[in-house]
Amino acid sequence: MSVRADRVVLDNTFLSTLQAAQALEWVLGLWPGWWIAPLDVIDEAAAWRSHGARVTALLHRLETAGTVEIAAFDPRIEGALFARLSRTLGQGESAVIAIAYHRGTPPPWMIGEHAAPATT
Amino acid sequence: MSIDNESIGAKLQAARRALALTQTDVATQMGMVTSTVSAIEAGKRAVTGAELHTLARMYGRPVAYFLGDGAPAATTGFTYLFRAVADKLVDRKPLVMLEHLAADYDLLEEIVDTPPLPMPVDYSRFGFRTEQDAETLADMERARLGLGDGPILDLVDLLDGTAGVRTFLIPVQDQNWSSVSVRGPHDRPAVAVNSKELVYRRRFDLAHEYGHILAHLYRLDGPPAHIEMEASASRVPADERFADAFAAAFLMPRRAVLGQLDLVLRANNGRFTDFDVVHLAMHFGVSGQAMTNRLVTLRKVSRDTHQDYWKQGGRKFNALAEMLGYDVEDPEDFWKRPVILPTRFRYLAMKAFEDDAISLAKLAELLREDYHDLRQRVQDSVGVAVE
Repeated sequence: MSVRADRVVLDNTFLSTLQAAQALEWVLGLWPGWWIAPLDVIDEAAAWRSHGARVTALLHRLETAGTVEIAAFDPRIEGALFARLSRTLGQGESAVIAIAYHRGTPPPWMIGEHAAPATT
Repeated sequence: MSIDNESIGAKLQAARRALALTQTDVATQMGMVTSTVSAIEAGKRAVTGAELHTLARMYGRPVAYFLGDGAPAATTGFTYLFRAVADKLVDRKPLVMLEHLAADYDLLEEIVDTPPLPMPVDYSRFGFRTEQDAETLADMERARLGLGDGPILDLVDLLDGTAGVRTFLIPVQDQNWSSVSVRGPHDRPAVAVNSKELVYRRRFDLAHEYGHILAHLYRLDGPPAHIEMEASASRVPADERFADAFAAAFLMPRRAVLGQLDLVLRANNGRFTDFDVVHLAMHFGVSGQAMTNRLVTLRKVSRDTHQDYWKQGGRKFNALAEMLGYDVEDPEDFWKRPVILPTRFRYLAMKAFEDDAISLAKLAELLREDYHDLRQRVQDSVGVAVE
C-alpha cells in the first residue's frame, strides 16, 4: 500500500475492524503522528461492550506517545457541518467528516481507487 | 456558515436549567470558575470543542443539540415540565431523554417521508370532569379505536402506533416519578413511563396519562405537561381521580368485566376465590389491586372487602399468577435498557437505514444501542459486511 497523507481522521469502522483483527495498535504504530481520533468517535468506541475499554485505553496511551491526537471539532467553524451531517450520520462519523473537511485538503487518493481505509 | 457563541450559550443555559444545575455546580464539575460558565452562556466567551463535548455529556444531550440554528428548540410543554420540577427532587435525565426521543421521532418521520399519525382527539372542551365522565370517555375512545370490549394486548403500540401518542418506557433511577405526558414538538403528545415499575402498574400509568392527554393536556387554561410523582397521602386532585377512573375503564370496560365475572361465578357455583382475582386481572392485563378496585367501582365487591383482601392475602398474587402460567415479571435486565422504544419508532428507523437515508451509526444512536453489536447483528441478518 502506498499512501501519502499528513493526517488521517479515525472513525469507528476503522477502529473496530482493526481491533477485531487484533491489528489496531500495529497499524497505528506504522505511521505515528498521522492519526486524529475525535472525542465523539472515542465515546462510541467506549460504548463497545466487548472491546471498548481496551480500545479507548490504547488510544489514550498512543496519545501520550504522540502517535494519535485526540481532538474535538471546533463548534464555531466545524459545528454547522457537524450539525447538518448528524441528522443522518452518527456523531462520530459527523465529527470525522467535519474535522477532515475543514482541517485538510483532501488529496486525490482519498477519492481515488487507492483510497486508504480510514480516511474521510 | 458559522455558529455564533450566543446561540450555543443560550442552549447550554437551557440544558443546564432543565437539570436544575447551577452555574457553580457546572463550574465545579468542569474545573472552571463560575464566571467562565456565566460568560459561555452569555456568549461572551467561546466554548471549546472539548468543553462542549463534556457539557453535552453532563447535560445528557447530543452535541448537535447545541449547534442548531437560532434559539433553544425546547417546546412549550417541555419548558413547562422542566420549570414544574425545578424545585423538586426529581430524576430529570429521563425527561431530557424523552425530549430527544420526541425530536428523533419527528426527524425519522421526516427522513422516511411518512405522514405523521393523526393527533389524538382533543376532548378538553367537552367539560369532562367526573369519574362517570371518565367512564364515558373511555367507552368513546375504545369505540373510536375499534377495541370493542376485548383486553388491550399491547398498550404501548396501541397508543404509539394508532392513537398518535409518542410512547416510551424509560428507567427512572430514583423511582421518584412514574409517568409523564407532555406536548412535544408540533404539539404532538409524548408519554414516558418508568420502566422500573411493575409491568401491570406501567400499563395503568400509561392509560392514566392517556386520560390526561385526552381531557386535560390541550385545555386552554391547563398546563401543557403532567408528571405523576410518588403518591402522597394528601387529597387526590380531581384531574388525577379522573385520569385514574379513565385508566380503569379503558383497560377494564364495564361490560367486559361483568361478562368475565359472570363466567367465573358460573364456573365456580357463585364462589369467587383468589385464583379468580388473578385470572380476571391477568385477562385485562392489570394488577390485582386495580382489578378489585374496579370491582368496587362496579359495585360487585365492597370497599371493605377489597381493603381486607389486600391487607391479608394480596402478597400471594404474584405466586398465584405464576402458578396459573402468567408472566408477572419483566425479562431479565429489562429495566437496565436505556429505553424501550415503540415498534413504530423502530420500524421507521430500520426503514430509514434500509433506504440508505441514515448510516448504521445513526441507526444505533436512534435505537440507543451499541453500534458494534448492532453492526454484527445486521451483518448476521443480512449476510453481508456493513461498511
